[in-house]
Amino acid sequence: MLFNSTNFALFLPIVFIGYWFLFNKHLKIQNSFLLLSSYFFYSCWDWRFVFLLLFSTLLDYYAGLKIAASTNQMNKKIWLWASVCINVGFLAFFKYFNFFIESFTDLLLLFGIHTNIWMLNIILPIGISFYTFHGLSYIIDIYYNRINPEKSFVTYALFVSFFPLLVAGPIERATHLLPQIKQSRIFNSIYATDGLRQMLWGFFKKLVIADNCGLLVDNIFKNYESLPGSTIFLGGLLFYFQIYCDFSGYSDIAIGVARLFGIQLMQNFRFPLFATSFEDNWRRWHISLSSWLRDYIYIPLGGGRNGLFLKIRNILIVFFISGLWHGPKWTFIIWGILNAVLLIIETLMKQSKSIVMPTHIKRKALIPDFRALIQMVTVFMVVGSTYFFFRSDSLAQSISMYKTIFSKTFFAIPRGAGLSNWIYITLITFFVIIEWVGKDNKHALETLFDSYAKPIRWSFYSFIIFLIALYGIGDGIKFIYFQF
Amino acid sequence: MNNFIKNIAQFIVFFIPFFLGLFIVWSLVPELRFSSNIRFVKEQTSSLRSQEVQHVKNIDILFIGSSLCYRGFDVRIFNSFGYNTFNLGTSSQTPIQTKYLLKQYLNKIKPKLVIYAIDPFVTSSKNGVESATELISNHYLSGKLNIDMLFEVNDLKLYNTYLYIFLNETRLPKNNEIIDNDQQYIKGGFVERKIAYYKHFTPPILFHIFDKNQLKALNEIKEIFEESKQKFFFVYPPITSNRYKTIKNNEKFISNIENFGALYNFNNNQMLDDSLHYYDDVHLNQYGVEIYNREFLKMLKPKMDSLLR
Repeated sequence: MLFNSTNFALFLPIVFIGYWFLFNKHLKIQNSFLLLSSYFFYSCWDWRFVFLLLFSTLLDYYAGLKIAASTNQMNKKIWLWASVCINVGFLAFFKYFNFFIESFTDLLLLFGIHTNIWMLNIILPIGISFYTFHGLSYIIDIYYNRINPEKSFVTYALFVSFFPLLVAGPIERATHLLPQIKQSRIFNSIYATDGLRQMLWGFFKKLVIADNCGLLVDNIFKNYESLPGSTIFLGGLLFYFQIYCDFSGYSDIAIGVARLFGIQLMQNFRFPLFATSFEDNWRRWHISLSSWLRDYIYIPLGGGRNGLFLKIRNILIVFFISGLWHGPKWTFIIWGILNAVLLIIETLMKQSKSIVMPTHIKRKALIPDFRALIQMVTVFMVVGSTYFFFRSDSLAQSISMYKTIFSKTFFAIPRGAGLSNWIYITLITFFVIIEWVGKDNKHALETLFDSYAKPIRWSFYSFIIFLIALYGIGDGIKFIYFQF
Repeated sequence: MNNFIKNIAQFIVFFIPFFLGLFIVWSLVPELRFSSNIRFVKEQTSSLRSQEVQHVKNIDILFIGSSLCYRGFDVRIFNSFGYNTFNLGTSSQTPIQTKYLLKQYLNKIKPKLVIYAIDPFVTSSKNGVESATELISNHYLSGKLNIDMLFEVNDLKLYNTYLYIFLNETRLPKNNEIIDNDQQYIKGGFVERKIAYYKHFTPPILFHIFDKNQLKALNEIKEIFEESKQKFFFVYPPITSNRYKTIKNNEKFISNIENFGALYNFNNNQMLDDSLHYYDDVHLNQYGVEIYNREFLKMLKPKMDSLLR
């Protein structure tokens, strides 16, 4: 069930009414209702994978209890590794099996060995990367005594499968979400209203900006062989807008929906378009994954504590995994490594005191100062141009696109692919202005116009709905991150 | 909670007139009104057909289907063979739209035979938004059927188009204001296009997958035919061999349609040449139409005559 579908427009009010009016007397019943609704939500994709989700949940629930109950370290370790191996095993099988086989046969081919290994026609269970990481963080936290295991299966299962975050995150931590599920919730009107505002902005980002940019991007990536470098370069930047608005739009809707149920999910994006350095960018982009990788991989590997060489190694490992997490394609891995290289270069520059380091944007600044503006534009363009790898179907396509960009045609006037439509430019400009004005908050609309009278505020919200109705792509286009 | 619900109710009351007001203002600005979600398709040919069909009664043959129908069956050729015919094809007409057109016109026109031109492109289409906007823009359906189709197709584009027409009825262009020099409406519903020739290109591969909404609509069409004891058969009109071979499961499509009635496939016809008889990858030019129609009559005239008796 997509957030941008009629089914969801029916599903949400029904669950909301059931949750607050029918099953609100006892917490256990309320949670059970929410759990059943979440499983129903998930089963709308493919009911067969509900069993995989249930198995993964049961496994981690049981392993968590066993780790906590074990008196010796060896038993704890066995349960930890059993859970990690099975979880990662499922992920590897469903997501990476064909990729590994293909890469292996390609490698053998390099040495002149021809093989004919069968590939499997595997359907990727939606959300598997997200709920696997949920479960892993829970188990690892118990192992390191950061949390106690959850005794109620319903509470734990709801933590894993709460429908707003089930298929594309944010990747929540047990320390943050479990306590909220365990205590009874009281409806807060201000909180819920802000949830609706966040959902509205999420829908605008997804339906108007991401999906419209998607049309242009698809055109450019399909016809890249006949387009000038300038158009291709714009295509990469437009894809950056698309993926940001698609994914952060999803996150905004998910967080907004959760707020309607009195649950606060973690912030997943903090206006990365305004990052002034590569490090700053990664503190703002897909925060739940970046912080997960930082806490469960980068820091356990030693982080930046053991000298520059090991720090560089750790950055490379983390970004390699981040690339691979996105999907079984070399293009994702190269994208990850490219971002690691940017971060490493920045780290090395920091060592040299002669280089002016990034500044931070002042809070409440209506206009950025010149230095911050240059840094923001540079980071946006450089990070945006790494996304050619992310979006391309093959390495050959990415390389060919880069070659065209670094040719004389880069200086040609961008043409074709619908770029001349000024409506797109106006919509993107409107979006960037609103994001800039709201950048000091958790989401762009949080405090926008809050000092004005209701009719002005409501006119603005109505205008956004109007733009969605007129310029949103209403074809139920899937969110990009569902494929991960 | 009461406050929250009250606020939402108040917002809805505020929102509706605001939205309608803005919609009207927006429609006045030419550059703005052509948003991606308004598809007002006032075509002279379609508009003339919708006017003519209101007066059609008791004919021999009603042709129905997509552009392959209204650009493929030349009523003049059929009339010269003594048949009284009308072509009710519309652009990209999918079974959902065919169902509504039949509900509107079948009992009124009372044809002795319906020839339904169908192809894998329309049966694979999710809900036929394109065709639905054409029916709405050119007033093919009555108010209730329009609304029923609106909810069945359930698409933002269609709602906006309907609202756009509803709010701007007086300002919309009249038929005589729309000029298309490339094509001409022929009385009886056929559209003749200026002679042009197909330039070869590689079209995308298509797998016919019967959309479940279209399948449901075809079942309903069959029920409509059965209820009114209507004689009918299906035709798979000719498309370029280049395009035909990119549809990877034509046999599946044919067998699916044969579950609903007899189907005659006019593809792989040796007399039609991609370069000489088509103006694009699916539409015949006038030379092609003449060959196809005469071939059609040669092959199916005895069957048609027996059904018309």
